[in-house]
Amino acid sequence: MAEDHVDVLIIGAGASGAAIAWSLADTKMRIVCLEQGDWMNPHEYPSAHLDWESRASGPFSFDPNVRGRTTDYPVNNDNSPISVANFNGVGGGTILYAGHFPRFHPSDFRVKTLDGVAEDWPIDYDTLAPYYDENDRMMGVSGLEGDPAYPPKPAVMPPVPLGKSGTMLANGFNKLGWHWWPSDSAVATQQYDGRDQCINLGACTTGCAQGAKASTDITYWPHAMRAGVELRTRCRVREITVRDNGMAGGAIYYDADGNEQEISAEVVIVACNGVGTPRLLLNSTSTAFPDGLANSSGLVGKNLMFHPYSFIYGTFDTELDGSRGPSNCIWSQEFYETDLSRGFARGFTYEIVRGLGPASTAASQMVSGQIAWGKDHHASARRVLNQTTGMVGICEDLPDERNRVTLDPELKDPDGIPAPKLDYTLSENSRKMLEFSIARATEILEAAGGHDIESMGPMPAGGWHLMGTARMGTDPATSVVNEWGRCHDVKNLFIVDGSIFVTSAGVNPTRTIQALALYVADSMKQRLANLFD
Amino acid sequence: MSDLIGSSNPLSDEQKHVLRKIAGLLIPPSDEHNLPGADDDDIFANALVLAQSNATEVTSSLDALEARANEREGSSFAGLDLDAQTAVIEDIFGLLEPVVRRITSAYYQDARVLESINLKSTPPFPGGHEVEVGDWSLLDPVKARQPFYRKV
Repeated sequence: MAEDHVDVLIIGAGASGAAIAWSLADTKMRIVCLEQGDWMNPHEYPSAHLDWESRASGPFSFDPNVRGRTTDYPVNNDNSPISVANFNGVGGGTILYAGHFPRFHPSDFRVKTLDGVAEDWPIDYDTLAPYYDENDRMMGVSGLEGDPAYPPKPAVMPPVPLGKSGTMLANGFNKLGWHWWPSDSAVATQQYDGRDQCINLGACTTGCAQGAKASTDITYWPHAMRAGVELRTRCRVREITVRDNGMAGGAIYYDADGNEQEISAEVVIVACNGVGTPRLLLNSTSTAFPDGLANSSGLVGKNLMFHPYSFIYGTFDTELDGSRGPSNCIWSQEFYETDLSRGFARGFTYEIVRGLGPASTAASQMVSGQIAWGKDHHASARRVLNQTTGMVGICEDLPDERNRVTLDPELKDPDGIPAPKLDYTLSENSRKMLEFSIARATEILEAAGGHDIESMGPMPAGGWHLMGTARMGTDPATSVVNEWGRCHDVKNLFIVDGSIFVTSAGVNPTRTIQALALYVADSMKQRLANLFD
Repeated sequence: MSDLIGSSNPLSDEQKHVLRKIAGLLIPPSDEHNLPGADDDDIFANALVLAQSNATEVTSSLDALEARANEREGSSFAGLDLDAQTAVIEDIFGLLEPVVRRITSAYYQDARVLESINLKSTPPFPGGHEVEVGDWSLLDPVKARQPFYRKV
């Protein structure tokens, strides 16, 4: 049998794997991407069914331990107050993300210099800006130019609708004189690049049956495949192999039937995000790398960052959007930049949650007592359903080596590969930031006319953003990859996902993950003649 | 769904009977809104489907209910009159969360119920929803602000 050999092997077909596959395709190298999950069928998405809310908490749950597909791997979250949220399939986490699409700010790359915390990035906002722009065109971003919280940036499409919920809360922000702005969203508000426009299904986080939300299975991948990239699904990589010379040799993986397969490559790119990537590197042990591949610094798996989320919502005396409309609406970055008088360093973003579906609202509000049970149920429910709205606070999480991903000694995926185990403690800085975000959000809701305000923080199931576990830097002793994504220890091994983040910022990471992937791809293309020097 | 890993732990007939009783007590029929209760045949059938997903959560709740009924009234829950059943549920409502969530979810995904609260009784796709664009002049005071991001 002929050896399965490629020029470039990409592991993971999510946000970053898709972006770098597309960008590298113009080199005409032979590129193969291995993805453990399947292609998605939009007709199976919950919003194509009346019981969409139940399906969203079962087979389309963002918690892999609840979802439990054979294409998933379990995660041991027992020692973490926040559990991992992800999706495994072509598109990765973009299948179930809301499509909130903020950029980092210039200050996010200079936190040590500005605030004396964590570390500066080895690159800056201006380095990434052209890649943000390129990614915006590929994904199709809606928004509005002129946000005073950001340097100037283009909007590709008009913003998502304000709606009744957005209008209500915008009035609250205005009464307090606080910043708000229509959210940058990876949601097509017009027909765009073969995708239809948003029709306000309101179930963005369960997969978009309309195809308006920019998941990479319908954005980057069709372009990458037309350009010659081969994408193989149901291929779960167990380990990256190492040649005698210490370079990456390729990967050993299990196919859909559970048979072990091997592929060799000149270049290996890991795109499995902040938990999947360290899991794979730590499971890739060899004589040359007994502690895991590219781990001479000992930092693979360490410095795990989530975004601790607060969730604050209230009830209003008028009908709001409920679950109708895109999950995204408006955001506020009034408290984004550091002000130490608040009692913490760095800051957070508020993102408005229009409202939840009737089943979710009724279930949670009956449990909390806001909706009565028994003879008063119907009258009580009608005062709450479609009349709640609120926001989440996305708090910047600072890196801490004690927060880490390791391999679980017992728990394994369906192919017998060790599952990741998390050890994570919420920092005092994060705790204070959560408390502050809840207090200010309560004021916003009250100013907007809300009552019966409830809150939580951190959201236990809110581990959507996974960062920092193979961080970028110029010093091999304190980082895993260099300033353009190449592993210090293995010169033909690259990492392009959230694990290379130095800090987390206070915004959703996908737009930055993809900009980084495009930047790494460009860096590789500029150095093709001496890529391994 | 053969593609899913799951465990099947069906409820006993007695547990189903108790669950249905609870459903009717939590969400009774409404003459005013011409609505069935949560113990309606179709709604309860869906509640049972939801209950049998991770059924151990539900059976634990039902076990707690039976224990409280015995402790308080010296009888099984099914053997109590309506007032006593209501009192037992009131006593341990917090422990019934898995049951409440499943019954409520089934109820508020029924087409009749959705129509009664002015929501479409069809799946969101392909019809979608109307959402007002809104009045973007609300942004005028924000637009008037000077940029406030930190320049580095």
